[in-house]
Amino acid sequence: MTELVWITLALPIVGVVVLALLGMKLPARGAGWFASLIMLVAFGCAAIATILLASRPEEERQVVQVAWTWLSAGNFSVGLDLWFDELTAVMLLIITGVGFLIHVYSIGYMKDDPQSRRFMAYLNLFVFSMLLLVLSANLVLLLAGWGLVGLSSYLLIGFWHNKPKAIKAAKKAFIMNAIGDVGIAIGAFLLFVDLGTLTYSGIFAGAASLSETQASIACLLLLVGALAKSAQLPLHTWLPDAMEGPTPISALIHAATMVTAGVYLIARFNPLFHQAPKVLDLIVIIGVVGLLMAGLIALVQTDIKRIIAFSTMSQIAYMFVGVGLMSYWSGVFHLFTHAFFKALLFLGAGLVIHALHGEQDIRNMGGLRKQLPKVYFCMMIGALALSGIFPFSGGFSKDAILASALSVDTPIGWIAYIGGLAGALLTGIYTFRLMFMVFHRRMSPYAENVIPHSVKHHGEGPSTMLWPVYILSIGAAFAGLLQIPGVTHVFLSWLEPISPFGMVEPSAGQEWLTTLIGTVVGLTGIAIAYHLYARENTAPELIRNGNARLIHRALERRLYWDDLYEWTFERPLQWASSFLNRDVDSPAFRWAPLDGLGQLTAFFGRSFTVIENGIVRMYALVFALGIGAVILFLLVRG
Amino acid sequence: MGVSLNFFLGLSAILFSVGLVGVLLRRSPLTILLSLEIMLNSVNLTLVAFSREVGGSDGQVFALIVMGIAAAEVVVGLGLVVAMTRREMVLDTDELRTLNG
Amino acid sequence: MIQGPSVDWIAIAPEVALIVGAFGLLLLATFARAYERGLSIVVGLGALAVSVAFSVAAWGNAPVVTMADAFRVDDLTELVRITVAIMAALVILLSVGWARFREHGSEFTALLLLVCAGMGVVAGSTSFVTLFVGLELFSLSLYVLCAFDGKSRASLEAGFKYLVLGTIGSIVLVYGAAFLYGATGSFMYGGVAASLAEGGSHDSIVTLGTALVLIGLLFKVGAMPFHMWVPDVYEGAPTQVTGFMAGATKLVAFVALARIVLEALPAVEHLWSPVLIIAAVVTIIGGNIAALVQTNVKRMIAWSSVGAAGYALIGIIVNGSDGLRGLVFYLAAYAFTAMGAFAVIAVFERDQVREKGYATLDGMRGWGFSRPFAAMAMVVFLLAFAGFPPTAGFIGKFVVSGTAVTHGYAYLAIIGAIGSVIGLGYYLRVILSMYDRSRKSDVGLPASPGLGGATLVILICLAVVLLGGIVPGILLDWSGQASAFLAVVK
Repeated sequence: MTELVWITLALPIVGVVVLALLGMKLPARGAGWFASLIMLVAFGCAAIATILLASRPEEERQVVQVAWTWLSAGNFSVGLDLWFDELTAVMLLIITGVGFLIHVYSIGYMKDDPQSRRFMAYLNLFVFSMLLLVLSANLVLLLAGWGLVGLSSYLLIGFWHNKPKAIKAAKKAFIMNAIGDVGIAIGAFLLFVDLGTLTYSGIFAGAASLSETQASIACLLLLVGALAKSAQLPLHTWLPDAMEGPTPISALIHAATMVTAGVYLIARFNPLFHQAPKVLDLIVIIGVVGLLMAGLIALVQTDIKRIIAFSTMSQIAYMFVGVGLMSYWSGVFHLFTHAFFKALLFLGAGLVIHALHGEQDIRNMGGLRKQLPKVYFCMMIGALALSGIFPFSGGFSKDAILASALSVDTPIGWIAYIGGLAGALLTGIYTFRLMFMVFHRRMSPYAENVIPHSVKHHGEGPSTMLWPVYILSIGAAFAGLLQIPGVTHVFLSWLEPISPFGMVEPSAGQEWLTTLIGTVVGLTGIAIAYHLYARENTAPELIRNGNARLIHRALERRLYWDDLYEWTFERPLQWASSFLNRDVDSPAFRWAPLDGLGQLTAFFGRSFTVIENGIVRMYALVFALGIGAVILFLLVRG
Repeated sequence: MGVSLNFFLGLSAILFSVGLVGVLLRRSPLTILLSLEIMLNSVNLTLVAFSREVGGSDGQVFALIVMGIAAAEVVVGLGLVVAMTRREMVLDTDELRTLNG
Repeated sequence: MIQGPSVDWIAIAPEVALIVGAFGLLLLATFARAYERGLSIVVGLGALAVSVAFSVAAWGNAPVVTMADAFRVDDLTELVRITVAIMAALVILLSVGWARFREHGSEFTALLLLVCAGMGVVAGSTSFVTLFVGLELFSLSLYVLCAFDGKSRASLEAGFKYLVLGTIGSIVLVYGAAFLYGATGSFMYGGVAASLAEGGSHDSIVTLGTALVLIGLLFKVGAMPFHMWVPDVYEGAPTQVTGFMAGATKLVAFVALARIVLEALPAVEHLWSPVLIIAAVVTIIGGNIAALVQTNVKRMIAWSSVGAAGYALIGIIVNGSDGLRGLVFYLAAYAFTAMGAFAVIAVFERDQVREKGYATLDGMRGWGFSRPFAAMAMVVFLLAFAGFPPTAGFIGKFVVSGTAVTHGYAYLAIIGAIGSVIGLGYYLRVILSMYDRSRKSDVGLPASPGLGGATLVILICLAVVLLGGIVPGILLDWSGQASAFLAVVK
């Protein structure tokens, strides 16, 4: 069974190598289908491996395999270790499954782009790094995967390198992720100093021996990494900008996989986090604040992708709340369903943008439901799932988290519950604001010009773009059935063993209660949105010019986080570096002594070559002098 | 009885120096090879001298081996000199410095 | 009746195969001139394969001592034999398209086989006599190989210089051996060690002997101040021979140095240790600084090779079992790296439109775009020289430096690090030059689309360098197995 897991890991990197070497010789579509085939096979292997894992009794479902030891010095050894358990299996299935669908989508999306082969190679690279991240069994390998994921995301966001905004966004994403990398690295170092090991088994076994302070510091540092990768407060500003990249990337990286890595990290390290309850509380608080903030900001965004981006930030905050409450199964369950409906929404948005020849502003859309009925239908499913409406998947998962909050009868739990409910209201509003403004109302003049022509020529989109959307909608609709409270408990029982200290499990009654309340709240949000946006009144303008003007402006500027960072970091840094360059470096290099050092080194180097003048006698002379020197030296010493 | 060890060692040191000086001062490849031979023979002398001192014939056997190898060395060296002449290179090692630095 | 010594033929079978192959080839070639090239390749590779087969089969077996105790076949000997044979096979692969090879292939290959045989003898010798015989066997053949390129006067010059200086080195070595014999009564490493241990390790004769032996070996290794031959010989010799020398000669010479210093002279560590330390420091800094000012890439790598010898010296100075394992791994990895780098240079030289294909920094401008694979491989090899992950060079330097630190020689590790940093200065220059779009190089488009045998050589070296860096475990294990047979002084 572990061989299958290794194959799953190896396949994407094989894909990268083949595409790198043969890429230009393959036809563009061939490259795309090849990359997608790799993903499909990887998914198959992951699925079979999961089935085999499931066939084992529960105690045997944690498989750690050391492939080879890379470095071992004394007691310290680090190697290519694999950790395959129930949690990893879920992540593997999501990464390869959704990854496959997005590869297929990209074939159609990148149809006319001459660089599509490079795109496919980058996609495969990303999948490989993500798999490495979730499969690693020690912190060194995790860091390697973590960093590679950051790199792939940089390459993919900045894929269109003649688009300056995209380059800037890619750099921003990379830098923020780098901050997260540093956090994890220092955390790993601290754990090594305290526990003497970097393997998960060692850390989990030794976690109980740590003092609360030690564990808290380490967890805080790991949390920094999680926050950066998952775009949570305060390291979240890169996510909306990342929408400059191609839409399949937004779907894969910024919905289904990379941003969920933080949630995975916390869930995976639950024995360690168990020793730092204050950090767990902090996670819940960050989650609650984040989901509210992101929801509010999403209310005023006008770019269709950015609305969905902030929605992602908000939903991931929910997952953080879930794992922060030690209800790991509900956090991961939401991760699972979110992968479906969020990717669905992004891909659908991509189809809309595609049909409108690149228009992304929702104020220039409207009334598209008659022209793009299939897209409308699928996105509606996604929107209903996102808003948490029973019986769609998002409803079950989000309400599982809320139910867990309820069942933990602490102030934190109540804060989480209230915040989560408020967030659900907001979700309903902004999601259906998007749906109504894009698909209902009167068509904008721009859309009127463009749509009929494009629909006539290309239909709603090429089938490679439509079929993944269909499949994802099936998932978005029905994935929740895996965890119907009191009826099916697939997720809960599957993931229970990953936490040796147990997890928060609300009762079936609590879950049904929250589902009911959640659906009602979500429907309320939809109703509000309908009232404000579905008809031809100028609600947006009213709000903008009315009393809520200041709030509206603040939300449009994303609560000034970007400005904050720009003023506290970017500008000082730029000023400092130009100062250093102008007034320190340049004069310094012209400063005689420093320049002299360089000249001196070159002088010595040349002096060797001057002796090396090509004449044998000279060489023999040096040899003889050397003999004399050594003999003299030894005779004097000895 | 007989000549003391130190004389032999002294003589071989002198021979070695003579050979070394020859390599350092002479420019013709042939003379250099000659000087190398002198150095090799100084070593042979040392070996034989020590062999007498230590007892046993190891040193002498080794000296014979060295002689054989010295001969091989000369062959190769002369072969290179012949090749140089054939390419009309001046037989002057001071001119032989296209490779330098 | 004089009784000959007992000879374990199986133990020396690799060398026998190589020698038989060499002479057999020469014989066959006289009768079948027309097929000279094909015969050379077949017999050459065949003899090497047989030699490797025997060595691999004997891997892991208990050491066998033969030739009246003067020759020992243990895992270290096997490792050297196998590495050298692989290097030689790569040389043959690189020479396949060479015009000179077509005319005189049999002699070239025969000499190459003899070099390998000699190196095997050196690696396994436990007596100064066998050491000298093996040393001369491979050196003499190597002198001729260096001078082999008929078209190039530089080649002859290189061969002649190597001969003169090499002979001086060998003479110094034997002189030292003679002194040690005089002091201890034995030519065997074990005998010398036993005698020195009893007493007399502060005798001036012993000092003289040790000094001369060290000098002779430091010459062969290419350490300062006995390095003068390296840049000229590396530059003038045919490039594939240079690649072979850079790796195999260094490996063999270091193994010989290690065996002597650790088996024969542990009692006089107070003598050789300071010498080696000074030599290491001077070599690392000097080699790298001198490389900085070079414009000819072949010469640049030659000087860097001098620096590399300095690192290996650290391994011997430190010489714990970890240090020796690192030493063997470093040298073996270096052999592949150097062969790969010179193979790329050979490709470049072949690409040159003009007759004189000198690989200079200027000449290589923009070449990276006409030969992407070779240039990318060169980048990996240069990074391996510099000691960057994920190459085998990094692992080698890491292990050597690490053991230096843990055994109290931290300053050596620091000097090594400084040397690596200086090294980056010129390695990067080569990389930047290769990928410089601004100036049109004289090279233009490659003459022939394929790389010929060079592709395979570069691929093999690339594979070893990268695998050694990413999954060094098994190679480190083999190195450890081999180095276990070096007596540890500490």
